Amino acid sequence: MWVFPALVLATLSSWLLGIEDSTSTSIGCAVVAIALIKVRLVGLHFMELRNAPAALRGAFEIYVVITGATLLTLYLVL
Amino acid sequence: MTATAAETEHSAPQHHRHIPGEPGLWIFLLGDMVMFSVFFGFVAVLHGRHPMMFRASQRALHPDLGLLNTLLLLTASALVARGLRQLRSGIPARTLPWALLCALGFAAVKGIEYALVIHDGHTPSSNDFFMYYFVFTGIHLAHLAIGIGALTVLIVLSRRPALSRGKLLVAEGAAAYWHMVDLLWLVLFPLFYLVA
Amino acid sequence: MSRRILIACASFGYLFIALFFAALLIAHWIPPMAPSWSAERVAAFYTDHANSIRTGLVVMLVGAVATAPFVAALASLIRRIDSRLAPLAAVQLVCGAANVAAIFVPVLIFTATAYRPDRSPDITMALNDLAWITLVMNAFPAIGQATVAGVAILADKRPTPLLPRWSAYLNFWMAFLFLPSILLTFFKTGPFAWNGILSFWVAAGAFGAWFLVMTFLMVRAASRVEDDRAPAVLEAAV
Repeated sequence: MWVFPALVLATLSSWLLGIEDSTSTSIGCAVVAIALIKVRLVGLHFMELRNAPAALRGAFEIYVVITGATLLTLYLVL
Repeated sequence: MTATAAETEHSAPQHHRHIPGEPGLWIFLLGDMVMFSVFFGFVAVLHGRHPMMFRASQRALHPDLGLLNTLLLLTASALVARGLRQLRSGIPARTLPWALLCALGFAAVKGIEYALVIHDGHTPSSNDFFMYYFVFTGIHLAHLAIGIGALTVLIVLSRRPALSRGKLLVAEGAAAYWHMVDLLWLVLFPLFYLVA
Repeated sequence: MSRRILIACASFGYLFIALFFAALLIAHWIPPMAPSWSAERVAAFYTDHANSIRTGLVVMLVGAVATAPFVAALASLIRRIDSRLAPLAAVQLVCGAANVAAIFVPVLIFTATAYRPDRSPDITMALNDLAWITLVMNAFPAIGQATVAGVAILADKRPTPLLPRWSAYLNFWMAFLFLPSILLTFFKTGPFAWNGILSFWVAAGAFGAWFLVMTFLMVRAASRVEDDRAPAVLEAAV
């Protein structure tokens, strides 16, 4: 059961990164990337999608990738 | 491929490939998640277009309460995941009411934060940041309210001696819905509170 | 119940979607006018496009009536799932009827707005606000309809349900997508304004997709339904 400690650790590290009064783009992107990694952990382990048929798991993975890529692009470009 | 002992702890024991809950439920769950991705996009665009306003408004939020809420939801999710595994193997899932308590705690903390933010003079009509903040976290809170219903269903089912195949699907669906509530907050929280 | 009548009624969903979206295009409402427009600009829009707006509105009026057979077919199918679901069929029917009005009423207000585009711009703007708000913020009958249809579909416990179970969840999702339009009352710009991405584009897209998918599934279900030629057979079955 490493998933829950990993999620808590990721939450705390992004919190520490985020409350720093810094407006750097790289920190913003790191925080977003951590969030999407957490989403993937919750989906694969808590929602048990890693044991789901390829189509469902694939749909979820595509969701994570597209959401993450879109958000990172928006933060980098705008 | 045979599942090892370590794997069976996490996975549905009876199948190698198993859809949690009813297959059709995933249309709703993934659809809902896509809708929230559109919300996330709006926040990111606002951040890009008005970084100063975003930063200034963000200071009015309470990241410590947001952090507390994230931890509450993660704990609830872990408890639900464990409870579902126990339910499947016929072990009494005694920790599920704690998950419900975490969910109620989230709602209470969110209410406190809304009250603090409004007390400081920020309302949905203050600017676009607060409009998105109140509307999107409000829609999420509505999902959480339905999630409280899902957890209640899960607790009721866990009181029964043995679950039929159909009831197990209901339990899995309720758990998956709950995890979606957690998952959506995991993105909302950094976008509003952390990304400067 | 005649299978052919049921299939015909359900098929009206296609006609409605064709007429509804054709009307939006004819009336120059895609993209929609913005709530942030000045009174002069609104009045000029009605002057410039007076006859295409009037024509589009007549088309939409016909379209609104085309939803009636569709709603009746859905109610019949819900009763077919299980005769004990009759109250759900009735709720669907009431919401569906309200939906006819939810299209009819704004269309008539739009017609009145386009009737004298040369009047004082302020009056045209007030009427235009009334019409758009009535057209976009009328989601609740559709939300009720989609929700109750979803519940009825899930209540079908037979091995081969009349309507597939996934369509129930599609109905719930659609109900959720219609929801943001109720926020338009607070906004004149942004995603929740009446021309916004969430209030207009997503809701209109979801509305169209819901009608197309449900019509397809209902026609398919109706063609599987057995013809009750002799009333005695029906009574024996019940």
